[in-house]
Amino acid sequence: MKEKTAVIADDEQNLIVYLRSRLASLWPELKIVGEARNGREALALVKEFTPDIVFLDIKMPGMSGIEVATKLTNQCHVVFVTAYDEYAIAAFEQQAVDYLLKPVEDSRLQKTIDRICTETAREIDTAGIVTLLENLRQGEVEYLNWIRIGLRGETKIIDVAEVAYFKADQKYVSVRTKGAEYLIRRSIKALETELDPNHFWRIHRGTLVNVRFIESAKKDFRGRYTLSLKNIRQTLKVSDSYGHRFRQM
Amino acid sequence: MDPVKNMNTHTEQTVVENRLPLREHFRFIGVTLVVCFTIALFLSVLSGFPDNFTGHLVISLAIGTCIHVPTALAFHFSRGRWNLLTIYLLCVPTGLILGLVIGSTILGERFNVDLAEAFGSLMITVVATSFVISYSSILDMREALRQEEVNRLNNEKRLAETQLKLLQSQIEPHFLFNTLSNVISLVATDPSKAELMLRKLTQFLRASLRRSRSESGSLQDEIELAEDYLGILKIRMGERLQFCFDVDADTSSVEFPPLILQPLVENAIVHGLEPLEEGGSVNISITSSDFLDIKVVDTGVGLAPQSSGSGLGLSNVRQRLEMLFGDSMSFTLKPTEPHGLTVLIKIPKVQLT
Repeated sequence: MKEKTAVIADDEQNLIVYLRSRLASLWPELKIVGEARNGREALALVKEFTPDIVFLDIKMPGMSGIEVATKLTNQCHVVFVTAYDEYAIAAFEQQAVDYLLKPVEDSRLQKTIDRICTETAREIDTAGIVTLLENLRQGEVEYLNWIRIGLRGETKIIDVAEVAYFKADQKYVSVRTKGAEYLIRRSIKALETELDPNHFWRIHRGTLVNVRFIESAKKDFRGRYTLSLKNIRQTLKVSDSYGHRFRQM
Repeated sequence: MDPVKNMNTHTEQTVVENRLPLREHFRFIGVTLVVCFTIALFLSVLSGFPDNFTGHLVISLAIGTCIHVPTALAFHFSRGRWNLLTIYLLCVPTGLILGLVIGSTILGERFNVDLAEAFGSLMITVVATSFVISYSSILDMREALRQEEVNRLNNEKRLAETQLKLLQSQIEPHFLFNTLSNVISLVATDPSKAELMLRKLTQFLRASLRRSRSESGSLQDEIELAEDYLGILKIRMGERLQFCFDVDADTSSVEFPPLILQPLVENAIVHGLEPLEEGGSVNISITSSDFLDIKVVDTGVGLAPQSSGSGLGLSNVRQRLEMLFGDSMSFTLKPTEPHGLTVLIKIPKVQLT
């Protein structure tokens, strides 16, 4: 039988050395043809050596192990390695993907070796891994969390949690925090789609308010609401079409 | 976060002030009626009860109604925006005169001004009105106290929540398992390094548990915690991590809130340097004047507008500083040139007692 080859990818040198030494004692015939310190290197090594097996750390700089796996086109047995990632592990179980937990246990590693040896090299299930990556990403919808503000040649970064409201001001949008007000070149419409809708509510054609800053909503005799804000002496008008947010609160 | 749960917190925090509830209106009508009745009774007793009781009752009810109706309307539509006293100063004299005229007309008497009687009615009305005012301000006061209590509880809840988040985020499982893997892998190849790492980890765990349970501590403790953390990461990341401390303060005598510096350093590494193939550096500088200035500069990837992971640590630190120091602290984020993040903190300097 032809001697099997492997590539190990991990951003921490100590862990590569360790996995290599465990493999050397449990599977002496296995030849490690390359070591990668990041996703990009791992991909290059796999392309160059077309190994039978690739051990991919999940959290690596540049490209994660899962992303690397989606880009593999060779027949290759992928084993993911992770220290702790409950979501990834659940996904691996679901997709029957091979994985190892750090610190790598000999008995667990032996099982993986046995499985690889008994199975004939299989086509890498790229579609399966792409699904896996999508599943993992689904949980984390990314909203706008930081706003960059240019201030006299300097840039400041503001946490959106600090922003009480965004208000359209001609070409700009004014960003109001507890202690300051800034102008940014954005549109309210764009901000509305980027911000977490659970935290920022559109209350007017030109206003997005941070729900956590609302102290109270007062209704006038025409049924229109005016919001007063925590720690900020400023009220905001709610236009009729957005009033339903405050009814029955 | 679960959106449903989220909605709940919003509802709790947002108190909608509506118009004066109907229940309150009935209560005020009741008060006015009782006051009118009492005045009529009092006046008729003075002038030989029960002869003039009906007359006095009609007059006092007329005055009462003429004061009550505009006042209630003003309350209803202004909803607290108009000053209580302004409303009464407007409504009481007009109501008094109008009431006297209407009352006399109902009784079929010609309304004539008797100065002494008018003065008497004025005094009685003023006394009665002050009674109603004090009654309503007691209600207001109660409401204000209740609101204050709600605010206080909300604040306490938030503090407890951030404290909890802090504890949960403190010892990150990924960090712990990766460090332990490193220790295990070093045992065979470099036992002395393995021992060093285990020692640092033990110190770090002990200190961070102690720090997360205490309200305060010295700046020295905080720096040591960050140093232990960086020491562990240095062994793990090797050449990919450079760091330096530049401390210009008498650290052992200055108080410092727990778990502020280490989370910033952790953020710089996990979200700044680790995603970079070449790694980078973290520089921590602390200077002291009347204030403590803390600066954590990394040369990592910087904050992407969407990065949420790093947000947690940074937002948590900012929120806790805000709760501890209010307006007397400042927390600023800036990009490091050409890439990376700079965190600047200024807090009041407090000597350790």
